[in-house]
Amino acid sequence: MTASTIPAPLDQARDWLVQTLRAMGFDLAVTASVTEEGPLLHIVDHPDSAMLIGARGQTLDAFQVLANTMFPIEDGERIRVDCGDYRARQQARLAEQVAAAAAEALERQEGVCLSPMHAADRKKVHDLAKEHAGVGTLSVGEDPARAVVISPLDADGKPMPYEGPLPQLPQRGRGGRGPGGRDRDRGRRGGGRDRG
Amino acid sequence: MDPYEALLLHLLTPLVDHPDEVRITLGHERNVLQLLVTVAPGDVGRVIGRSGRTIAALRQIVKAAAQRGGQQVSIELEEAVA
Repeated sequence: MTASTIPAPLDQARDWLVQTLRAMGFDLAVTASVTEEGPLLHIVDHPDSAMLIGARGQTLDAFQVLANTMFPIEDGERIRVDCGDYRARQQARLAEQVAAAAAEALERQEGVCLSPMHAADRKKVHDLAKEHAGVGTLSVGEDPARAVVISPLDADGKPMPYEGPLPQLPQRGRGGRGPGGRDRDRGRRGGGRDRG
Repeated sequence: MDPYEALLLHLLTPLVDHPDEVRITLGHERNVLQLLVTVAPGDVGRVIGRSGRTIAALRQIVKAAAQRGGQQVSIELEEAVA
């Protein structure tokens, strides 16, 4: 990767991120590159990187939102922000969740609802589920609690409708407790039914 | 300047059309540091962002920095009175 392939807005976003991290009390290097998946800002790994990543990657996502608001790249490709190997680990975790949910859906012959996710992660789940025979996906709930259900295919090859509880957002962390809730992938007790 | 105020100012300045009209007032309630932000009327939408995404991102970043210092912060946004 040569410097000439780095679009100017990505370079500006890199400088902005370095300054932002410094204002947060982190003196960390950030590299800018254009990968197969698009423009990327990568924060070097750090013992305190959990704080920079945030619960479910929320802080990385916040950097991403602001970087793309302030330094839009002309061809419309969105800048991604990563720290250490967080995104790769997240992708692997997502793949594991999808595999487990697909196996469970086939065994119980009913839809299994994953935890609520952003649109980008839901898209990854829809894609990952295609690798599992005999199941399909549907989305339930309303943003920000919208979630993907992995459901066995019926005789027509369509995912069976989901009749379980609607997904609920995890409790907003007040005091930095762990993610809690053993059953959170199953969705908590939900109110009414969803319109699908 | 308070470090969280400095961080918030750093984040807000490039976002708005009128950086000289950004004001941050500090307050305390119990253990929570309150940052009251005032921006030019035309900049309010920018700071809030589509479906509140920008203000949510600002809150998340300041919260992450504050967590490290063991501090709780809240950010409120107000439109400047012309």
